[in-house]
Amino acid sequence: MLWHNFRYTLRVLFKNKMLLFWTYAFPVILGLLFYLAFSNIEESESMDVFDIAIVENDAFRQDQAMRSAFETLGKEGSEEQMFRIAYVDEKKAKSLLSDGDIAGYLLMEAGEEPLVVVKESGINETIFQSVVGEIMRMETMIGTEVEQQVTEMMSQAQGGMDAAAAGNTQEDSTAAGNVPMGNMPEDSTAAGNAPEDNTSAGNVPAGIDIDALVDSVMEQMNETEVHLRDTSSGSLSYTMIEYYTLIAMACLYSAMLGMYAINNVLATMGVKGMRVSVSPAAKWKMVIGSAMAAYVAQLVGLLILFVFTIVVIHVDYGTHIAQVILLALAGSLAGLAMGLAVGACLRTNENTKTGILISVTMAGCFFSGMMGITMKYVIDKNVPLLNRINPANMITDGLYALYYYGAADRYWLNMVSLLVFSVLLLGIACLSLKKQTL
Amino acid sequence: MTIFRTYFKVMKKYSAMVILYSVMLVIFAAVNMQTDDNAAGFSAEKPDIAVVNKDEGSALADGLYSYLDENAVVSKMDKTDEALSDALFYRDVSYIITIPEDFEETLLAGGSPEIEVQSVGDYEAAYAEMMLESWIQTAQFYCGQMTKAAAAAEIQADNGAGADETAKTQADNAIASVAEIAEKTNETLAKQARVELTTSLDTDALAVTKFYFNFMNYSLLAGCVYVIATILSSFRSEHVQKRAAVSAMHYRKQNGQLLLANAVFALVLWALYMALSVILLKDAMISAHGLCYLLNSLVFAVCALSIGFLIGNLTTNKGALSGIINVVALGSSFLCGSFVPVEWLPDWVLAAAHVLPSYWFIQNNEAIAHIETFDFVSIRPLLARGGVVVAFTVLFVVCTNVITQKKQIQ
Repeated sequence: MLWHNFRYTLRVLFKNKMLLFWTYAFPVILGLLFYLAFSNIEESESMDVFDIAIVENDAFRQDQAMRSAFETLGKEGSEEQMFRIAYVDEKKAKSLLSDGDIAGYLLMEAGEEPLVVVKESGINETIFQSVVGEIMRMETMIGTEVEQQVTEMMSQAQGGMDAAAAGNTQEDSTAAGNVPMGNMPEDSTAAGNAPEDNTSAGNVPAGIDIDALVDSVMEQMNETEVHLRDTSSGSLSYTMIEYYTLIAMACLYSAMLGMYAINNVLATMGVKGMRVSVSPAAKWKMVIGSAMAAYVAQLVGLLILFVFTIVVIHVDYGTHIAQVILLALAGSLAGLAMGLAVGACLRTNENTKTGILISVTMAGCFFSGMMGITMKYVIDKNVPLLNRINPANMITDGLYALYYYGAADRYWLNMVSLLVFSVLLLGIACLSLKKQTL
Repeated sequence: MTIFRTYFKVMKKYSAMVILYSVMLVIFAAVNMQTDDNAAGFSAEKPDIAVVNKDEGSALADGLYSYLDENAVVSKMDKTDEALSDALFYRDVSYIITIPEDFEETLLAGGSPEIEVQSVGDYEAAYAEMMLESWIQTAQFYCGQMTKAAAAAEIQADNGAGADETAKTQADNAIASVAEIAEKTNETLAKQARVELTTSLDTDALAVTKFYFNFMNYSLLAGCVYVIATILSSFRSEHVQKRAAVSAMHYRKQNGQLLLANAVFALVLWALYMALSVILLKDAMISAHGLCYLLNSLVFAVCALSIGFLIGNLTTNKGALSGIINVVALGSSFLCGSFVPVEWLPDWVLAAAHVLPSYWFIQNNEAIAHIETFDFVSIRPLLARGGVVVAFTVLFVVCTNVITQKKQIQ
């Protein structure tokens, strides 16, 4: 009788188009939509080369460091390229900015600090501003270094001079700080390096080539290396969570199959149930046969979804395939148990039961990140208990743990939770069914 | 007005569901609007980072920390490996910096300490990395300066006191202590270019408003289409349909009355969302921008109404209806940028989305946020897109009439 009922339940389930739509087609459609909407997110977050403009006036032309730095940063195709730079006059820059063609433009004026003009605040604007700040910092350091080297050279040259000249030299050395500066007026240590100006500052002793000095110092600075060791995991694609919640949803939707299957053997749910109840067949055989059929139908649907997500939308489940399958089996069992419990315990019509199952599943998926990945993190961090008892999160978190941490404790904790959840609900369903048969 | 009155009688039967559904949508909208702020934000000017300082107590490591604390948002969370890894994965932080134990020691010795970092590879992480590199380069520079100053001081001592005025000046300017290196580094880095903003718009408030109205695409579509189609399918059930067919009333008039009843419902739903928008967004709605958003969504609400009307006439199977509604509402929302910012959608998805009315509605929402001054030139594109939505509406109404006519003949 068990197998007989199993076969027939399976046929009944496969003939119910609505049920098949929700359990088979809907997750696939949703997955496709996720893919269309999210496939570009992570790429658009990486840093791209963006457009800026520089007002090409005398002040800019004279600032060697600024000029050469932007030359490097704007070099097409080079690895260091950060910007696409348009060298224009101020009027053109303004119109480019108001049309939204550039993130901002740089305006240098003699006697003023460089000015970055942007339309609104944003990350590109912030980066542009900080790059200009960075070049200013380089200028400061180059100034300090050049000043020091000039001083050194002068003190060496002065070695042979008589004491009377000492006073003058002191003056010279302070003035030397000013030497390389053209358009950086504020203080001598912030010495810029417009070496074109060095003719006007005539106090540099002959024989010192400021131009060459600035170049060599700049080179030296650029060579300074910073050792960063990047230890981040390669598995950082957070949109995967969306697909994991999809699997969770599909697993839990087996509740509908389970509920539908068990309704057919319940006398309270219609004529079919009444007929089955008066038959001499053992009740447990009928129930188990139906539940098994629902489970098989569910696994077929899940298989379709897995194949679709792997082949078409390239979801990365990590390298532990066996554990993924195990988790999917346990997740489906949890969904089935939920369906059986709701089907057996609640004395209400099928629509209400379906409504309850869908609401519970969707709420569970919401808290595990389906409608916004941040939600899962927020709940995990602040209300961990809610996600500990949320079956959708057990599945999502299990898959996440496998993907990000490998088959470690966190995965097994979720596995065990799912099994405990299933056994608990199956127990409730059994008790309720036992009561009804007595 | 028999049909009009009957509509609301049927609605009464569904009212609990209607209210439940609307409340659910409203909650989703409100929750999403809030969580979106701390999701992978677009206007974030300070990157979110975490710093593990293993060289705590040393002047240089603390100096670096205080620099980062000032220029980035340094998370105050637990520093366990799992908490850090989770935070990185969910983009709570984009960059994790581990300052090694020998940080100060190595720097002072003239070397470059190896710093362990974890990065999600986005622009925030790139920006944080830029900061870190700048600080270390600057600190290295001043460490070098200090070493030189020490050497100069030695020379001075060798030459005898007062013998060399130049060297003395140099020593005066020189850096004497490690704390001073940190101080000078932070001082140098604090120098920033001046920035001038040209926009007079409150871009943050407009961004939130835009999000609310983009999300409304889903709320309006799901709400209108669900309720309207479900009630309509009751009217289209076989017996009711047959009774209507033999009545003296022309089918066009019947459709007209149904459309009117639906319009009243759609307008009430729209008004509800507008009231909510004023409560949630406050001042941002009481402005020319707010008015544009309001009108744009009204045009779209009418379009959603016509979509619901069409779908409700397609089938009387309530199960099939809920499937179609979900696919239509979720599909348009995902493809047109209701849930995901438009600029993040692949170009080809957006190109395909041109055939959906939601696309034009959302493109208008995006455009409104960038309007500086309201004149005919600036609102002309808005009118054009609004016209497309109206054209869709007319198309759907015509389709509905064709379908009902054909069904009647059958």
